[in-house]
Amino acid sequence: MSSPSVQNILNRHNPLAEGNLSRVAQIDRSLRSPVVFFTVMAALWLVVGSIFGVISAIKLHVPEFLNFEALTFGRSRTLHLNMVAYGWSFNAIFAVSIWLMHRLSRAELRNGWVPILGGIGWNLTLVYGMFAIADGQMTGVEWLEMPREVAPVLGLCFLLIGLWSVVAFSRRQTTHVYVSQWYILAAMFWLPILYLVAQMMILWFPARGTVQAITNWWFGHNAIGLFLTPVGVASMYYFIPKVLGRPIHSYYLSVVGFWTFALFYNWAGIHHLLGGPVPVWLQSAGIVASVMMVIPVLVTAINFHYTTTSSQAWGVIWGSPTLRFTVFGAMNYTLSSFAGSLMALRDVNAVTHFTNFTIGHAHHGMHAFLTMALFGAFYFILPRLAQREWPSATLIHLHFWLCAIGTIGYVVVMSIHGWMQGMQWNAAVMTPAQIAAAAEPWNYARTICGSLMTLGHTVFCVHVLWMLAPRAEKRQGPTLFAR
Amino acid sequence: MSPVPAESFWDLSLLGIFLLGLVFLGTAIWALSWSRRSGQFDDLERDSRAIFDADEPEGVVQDRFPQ
Repeated sequence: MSSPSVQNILNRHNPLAEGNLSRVAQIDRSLRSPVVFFTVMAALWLVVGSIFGVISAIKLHVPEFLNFEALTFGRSRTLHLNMVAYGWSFNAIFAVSIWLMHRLSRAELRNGWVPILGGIGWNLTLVYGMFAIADGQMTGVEWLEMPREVAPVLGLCFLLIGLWSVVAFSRRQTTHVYVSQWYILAAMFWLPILYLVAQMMILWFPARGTVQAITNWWFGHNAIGLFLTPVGVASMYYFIPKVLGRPIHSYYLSVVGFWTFALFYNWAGIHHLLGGPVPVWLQSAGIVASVMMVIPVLVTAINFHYTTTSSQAWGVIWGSPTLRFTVFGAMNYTLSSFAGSLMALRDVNAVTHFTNFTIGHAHHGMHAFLTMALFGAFYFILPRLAQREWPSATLIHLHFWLCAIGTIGYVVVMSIHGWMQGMQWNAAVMTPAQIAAAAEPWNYARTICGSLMTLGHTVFCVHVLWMLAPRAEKRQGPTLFAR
Repeated sequence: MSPVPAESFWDLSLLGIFLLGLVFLGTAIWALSWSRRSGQFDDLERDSRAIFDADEPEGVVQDRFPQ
């Protein structure tokens, strides 16, 4: 920015430059407060939740580590899950979905205080829920561990937040509904129903027998599949073509992908109960749906692959923080989804069930795919909202490599060890004590990989706060002004 | 507690869930039908470019590492 001509070019292409507020800049300006709020909340929950993940991992090989009642393995592991799921993922999804929906609808956000109010309520309720879990007042139902009294408050807050995506859609200035909008709208429609039914049938008016378990895994799997995944996919369908500056390879396939996704995903959760006391026809339906998920995943993979490779733009992908994370997430969406379909097959499930393989798969989907895709979205969104360049390219590189090595290492370690565990248990040659002892080196590796991810999350959080700090320099640069 | 009211309650609950399922199915069919009627599938080549505009046009890379 030393020469006046460069400054002029930057100003001309900077939608936020003084006296040059474009439509896009007006929309971004209206979104600033709620999106930044949810992003900061998400980043803070991510760091704290990851620390609890590392604590629970360490306890597997050093059981006396932090030997307090509130930090037993059962509680620290539950705190980890709830913090990264409801704290990180939901807040991040709120931020990305509100931004995407308004951008795609070409509509400014009005009454932005409403989603912020919902967000404050959401996060305060989560804090209460986490203290309750640490205090031992958890329900014992996976993904619904917080005491049941939090449910009405969380539900109301979700409506205040999620409704704004629907309002933006209803005020859209465009005739076409882009595929990302379909995914976001569907997610905002599906989750309240899932949560309501699960709460009612498990905690408020408990169903009898295995119906509780069926409802539990219908909810648990669909909270990922019908809320977190659709927004992750919506984000990838927007940012990959957007940053590359070229449309998606086959828009037709993206439409096919959405409708097949909507058709098959909600049946799949029952594969968590294969071999359990659940009607066999129901298990078979879950297996069929899980395998049918190959269709939407395959068309999405084809689309992303050809969009990125046909442009011969590897330099662009590697040189863009947004694309580096998003494409990494897209590749792992494909891999983790195919692995999920395979794990639903009875013969494979007989080995992987109850082993570290499942935990590795959960991290593959939630971190290597979803979290990395959301990081990519934030690298695009935040500079445009804050009107600031990211302060440090080094921190972005560090964030990427810590998370990429950590997450891939974690998935590989847990998958290999999980398969070994399953084979050992099924063979019934080793005693349970011997099998547990054989897990020790793998547990150390798990801690190391989890620590790498946690370090990466801390780098991201510090970078976000640095960028948003009131005294931060208002730098201009190529993330904002790629043109 | 008598088993009769409990069973009646669950009969009603299952009916409610079945109806909820029908609402889901009906919504999906309506959404698909609306998409067709409103021309969402008429020109997919054009619609794939809906993410671009004058401020962030097609053919221009939108993001790079800061220097």
